[in-house]
Amino acid sequence: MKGLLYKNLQVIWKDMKLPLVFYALACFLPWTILTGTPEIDAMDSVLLPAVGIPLDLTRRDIKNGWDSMERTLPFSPRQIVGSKYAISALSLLWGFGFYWLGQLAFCRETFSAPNYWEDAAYSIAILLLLDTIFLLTLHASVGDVGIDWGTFRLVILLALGVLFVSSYGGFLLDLIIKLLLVSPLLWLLSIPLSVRIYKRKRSLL
Amino acid sequence: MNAIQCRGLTKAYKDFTLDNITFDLPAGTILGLVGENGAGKSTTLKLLMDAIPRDGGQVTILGTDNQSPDFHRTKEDIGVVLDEACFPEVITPKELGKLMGYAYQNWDQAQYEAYLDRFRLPRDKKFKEFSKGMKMKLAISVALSHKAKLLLLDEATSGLDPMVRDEILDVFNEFTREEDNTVILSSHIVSDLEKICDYIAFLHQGRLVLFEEKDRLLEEYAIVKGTAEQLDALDPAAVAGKKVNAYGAQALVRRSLIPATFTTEHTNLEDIILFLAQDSSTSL
Repeated sequence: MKGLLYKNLQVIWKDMKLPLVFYALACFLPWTILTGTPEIDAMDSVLLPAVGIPLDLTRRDIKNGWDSMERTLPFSPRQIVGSKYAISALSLLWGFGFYWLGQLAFCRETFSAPNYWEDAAYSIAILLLLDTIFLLTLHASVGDVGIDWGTFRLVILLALGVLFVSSYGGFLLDLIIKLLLVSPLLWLLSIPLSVRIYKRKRSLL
Repeated sequence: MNAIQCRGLTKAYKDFTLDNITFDLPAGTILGLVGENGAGKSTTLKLLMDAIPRDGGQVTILGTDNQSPDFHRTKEDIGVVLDEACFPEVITPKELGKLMGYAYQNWDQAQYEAYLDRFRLPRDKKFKEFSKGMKMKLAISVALSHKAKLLLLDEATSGLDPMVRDEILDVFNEFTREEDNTVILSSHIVSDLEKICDYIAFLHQGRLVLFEEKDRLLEEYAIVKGTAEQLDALDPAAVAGKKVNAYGAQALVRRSLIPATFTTEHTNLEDIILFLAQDSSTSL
């Protein structure tokens, strides 16, 4: 997996600087500036790099044929899928890092709001849950209909997911709270399922 | 020992089926896999690597079932060159060497550098700036730099000029000087295959029409020319393919089965393949 991570980091650093800057800005500049109110929900912007970076990497891999080459190299499906999870984790850290820098820069008073850390934990858990769904559906979504339609389909799915949770979170609060408590574990446990989906996705070739 | 054992390999697509491919390839030999565009050469190689799942059959590569959980370890001993070299666009040969060093336990950086020098490939140029020939040479350098025992080369010489093709065929020949090293080279440039291959497999419309030793093919088969009526008089078992036009007729025949009264001409691999392709129901 070290080789795959090395390759992904090389591609991100050499060919995705502009998107990295965009994601950094999107997380750094909180909604506070637009709304005038400290807003923990601005953490949703962290989903942008968490989804955008692995998705962009997958698109490039499929377009330049690397995904075919990768399967001839001595990497197991677990290592291939694991490298996507690792990149998603790094992307989440990139987003969180700039988000909190932005909070410190523009709305430090947010940190002293009542229930701040409780709300922050709630938001982080939601993000991990959505990231889990994204990683599970990544290979399945983009494989069978081509990379461009697959990306469009995935983005729509995630946007609907975010809207649903934001609008109806209260209604399903009980279930969501239970899921949120274990969302970091769900993120990790989704790896074997992703591997199975990745193996199945080969049948679409 | 066989480097590859293939039994009933099958893959069905909507409008194409690779049907019941069966062959054994002894270790230490070079197999030329020939066929027209769309015959199934690339599909066969991808199925051998389990890069795409098969619909039926069994494949054993270097003693391991290619669908076993351990097959990714066997890939350490297999070098693959796809029909289009598929590395990340922004990566340089230097970085590619580092990547492959992480991927392969037996990666030989000194060997890789030697091939880069031999093929005159710049180390710090991005892959997307390479010409087609350079990309192919880079892919071959990678395939030959991890002590592989088996090379799978999918159209590795297509689109290259004759000088470069000759250089690359020499490299493949050198590879097989190690006793157990095996090569499968797919190509529709039959003259390349005739130069270096020990075995020839001919794929036509998804079927394996022919799998034979090259030298035996060239000894056994010959061209006979005459009128259509003369050729019709031949034993059908002797005739492997026939062409009739306004100027006369030619047939590909088994020398041992035709009367001595017929004058035969030596044939080459290209003629044999063309005759067989024309009569697609023919199987040797």
